[in-house]
Amino acid sequence: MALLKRTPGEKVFNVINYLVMIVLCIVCLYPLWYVLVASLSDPVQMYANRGILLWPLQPMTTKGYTLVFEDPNIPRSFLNTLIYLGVGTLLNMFVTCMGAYGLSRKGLFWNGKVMKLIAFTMYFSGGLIPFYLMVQQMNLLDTYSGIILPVLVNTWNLIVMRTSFAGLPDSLEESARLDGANDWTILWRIFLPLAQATVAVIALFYAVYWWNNWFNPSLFLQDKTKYPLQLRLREILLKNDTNSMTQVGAVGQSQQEQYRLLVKYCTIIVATVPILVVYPFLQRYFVKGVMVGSIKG
Amino acid sequence: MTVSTNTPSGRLMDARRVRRLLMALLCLVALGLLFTSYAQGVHRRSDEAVNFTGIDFLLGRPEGRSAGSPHPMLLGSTAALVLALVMLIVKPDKRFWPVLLLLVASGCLLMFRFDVCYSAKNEFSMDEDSLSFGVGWILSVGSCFLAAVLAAVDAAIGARQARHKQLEAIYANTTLPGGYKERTLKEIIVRDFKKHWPVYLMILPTVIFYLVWCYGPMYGIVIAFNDYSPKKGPFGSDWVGLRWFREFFRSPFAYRTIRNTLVINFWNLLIGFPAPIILALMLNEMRNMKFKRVVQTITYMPYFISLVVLCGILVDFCSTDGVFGAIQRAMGMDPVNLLGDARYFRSVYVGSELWQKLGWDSIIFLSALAGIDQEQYEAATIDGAGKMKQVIHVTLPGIMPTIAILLILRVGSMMNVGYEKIILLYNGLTYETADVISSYVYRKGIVDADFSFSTAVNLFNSVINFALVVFANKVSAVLTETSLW
Repeated sequence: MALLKRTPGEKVFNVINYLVMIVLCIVCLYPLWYVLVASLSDPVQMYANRGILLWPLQPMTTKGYTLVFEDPNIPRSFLNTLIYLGVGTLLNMFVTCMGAYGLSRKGLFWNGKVMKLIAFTMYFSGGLIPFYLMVQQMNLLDTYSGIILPVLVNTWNLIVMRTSFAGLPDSLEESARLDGANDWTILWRIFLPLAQATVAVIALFYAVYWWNNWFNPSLFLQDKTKYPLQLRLREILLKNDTNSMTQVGAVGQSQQEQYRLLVKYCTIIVATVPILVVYPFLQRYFVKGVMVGSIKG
Repeated sequence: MTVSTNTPSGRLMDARRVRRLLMALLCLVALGLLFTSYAQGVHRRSDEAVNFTGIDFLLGRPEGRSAGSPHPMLLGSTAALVLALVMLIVKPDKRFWPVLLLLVASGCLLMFRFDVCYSAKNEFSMDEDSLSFGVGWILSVGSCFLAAVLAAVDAAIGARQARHKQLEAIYANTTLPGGYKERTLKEIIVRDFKKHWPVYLMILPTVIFYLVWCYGPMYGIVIAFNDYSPKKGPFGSDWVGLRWFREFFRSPFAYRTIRNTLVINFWNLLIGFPAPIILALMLNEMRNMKFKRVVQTITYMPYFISLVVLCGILVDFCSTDGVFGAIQRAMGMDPVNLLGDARYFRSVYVGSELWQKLGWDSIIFLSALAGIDQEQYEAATIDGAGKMKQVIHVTLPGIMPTIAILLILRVGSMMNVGYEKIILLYNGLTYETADVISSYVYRKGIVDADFSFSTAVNLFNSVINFALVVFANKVSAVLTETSLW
């Protein structure tokens, strides 16, 4: 490019541009930094004067983390989330792949009609209460299946996957059939490896759903030992239910309130760090996912 | 008139004419019965015997019932029936619309009948022992429904004929090996299934999922029209017609929740929509690729913080001794709990949405920007256009289609605010500005266990949403030639 010469106006713009971006980054990062710093601060100091923290208030302590890890509910709910995430994503992918493959085949009598039925559910649904009653009727309240089965297929993901399968050349399928492959083999041996990128993105979307899932469990679960992490977090962060952590012997009666606050910050960090650790490695897939979704047919 | 020239002996056309005549007759019968059949009852307050016909309801006469306005269901069914009749006569080749109209008419009639006869809110009670207890209306529903079935049969036959004609045309032009054998729908389906059953087996779990978890709950909508009690089940509960809808619209909550839904969406659109575009434009101007990538990674990050954690942080920041409190104090103001004051709820909501989605939403615009032909910029520079002019004349037109379709989609969901974030953030102090339709549905249904009422409100919202999406899609199809389906 021979156009690199810049006018003074452009220079000014550039400086402002960089400044705005830096401010934006600070705004995006500061809340997390604050929580991190607060989780390491001395609870008594912090309770007295919080405000804008840049560095942990002395003396630094990791006692909050000890309390969080000693609490039986957090590891339990973490494990639950892993169960939901693992089993849920696997089932999601299994059903979605098969459905997307079948629906992407051309010349089948029912396919068009089924697709219309499916697309309609994106825009109209029975609503919250009928959905709840359905789960109740199937006797799925308070069970692991009651959390997983009602969200087995996500319409958007199904459509994206179907589009990517439909985009694969017909000749592949034909030559595989000549070699004696049936639909099952074609899907798992040929289509899935070829559409790898999309499959990864969809799996990631399902996994993120399971990680963030709290609403359906809050409706369907009474039994706290089945709570996923996010639901447990809601109780701690928004309903101030930290008793199981702060009312153990380690904390004196007079410091209850102070530790309540500390424990909240520590829980946030514990629940957010896993996702932030994997995020930079997966970012590229997520970005791809946005594109895949936007060009769907 | 469709005049047949190529059907053998014109026999089919005659059958068709008979069907149409029958349909028209049934429509007339339904209309006649609807207006003339009458019911006897007693006025609840004055104990006066009353006796009214369908016409009374059309004119809104049963005093006190609906303050002199016509019964909406009666109005709807009359309109649908008349329209169907007109279509049958004037547009005989439109075969699908009469089916729809007649089905709508039957539905409306049925609801009208139940509403009149059973609604507990009525000012009069019907004499259930009387011979004429809504019988005429039931017959009216019956004949209307019969007409609908007939219309459906007619439409199916019409579709089959059209298909055959099409296939014959194809067959006439091509020489298929073995010739064209399938003649009936049944044969087509059987052959198709024999050939493709493994594929259908693979689709089966998906189909079952949709039937059970998406269409199953749709049957549950019936509880919006009755007084659901768990013992009697969704279909056995007492029918109350449109009572819940009336109750909702007469309560102050209707205005409040609809207003809040629209206002929150409006501000979210006004601030949350242009911001990612501006961010994308600014990022696009960056020459330092490494810095750009770092900024992108950091601004996408809030999107990955789960909603519960975000709300937890927000609640902490907004409290009087939190970060925002400290900022307020530093500016010399008395700190207020932003989430405990109805005046600030919307700002907090919109602001936090912006914080979380700004970077993420810019991705799509960045990719649209990357798709703009670089030569256009060079050409613009040679023509003497400065940076600002390039943005206005090259960049913006380049991403306009993306902007248009996203904007239309956002407008299509104007009546739709997710309840998850709202119910995590709101409290009794902020209901005035925070309570949206969906959160009201949640509170009524799940917290207060008022199942029928909640379903009715939800149904109202779903229908509006659906209509808006369809409308937005139509607009999008016309303007940008991109449509969702």
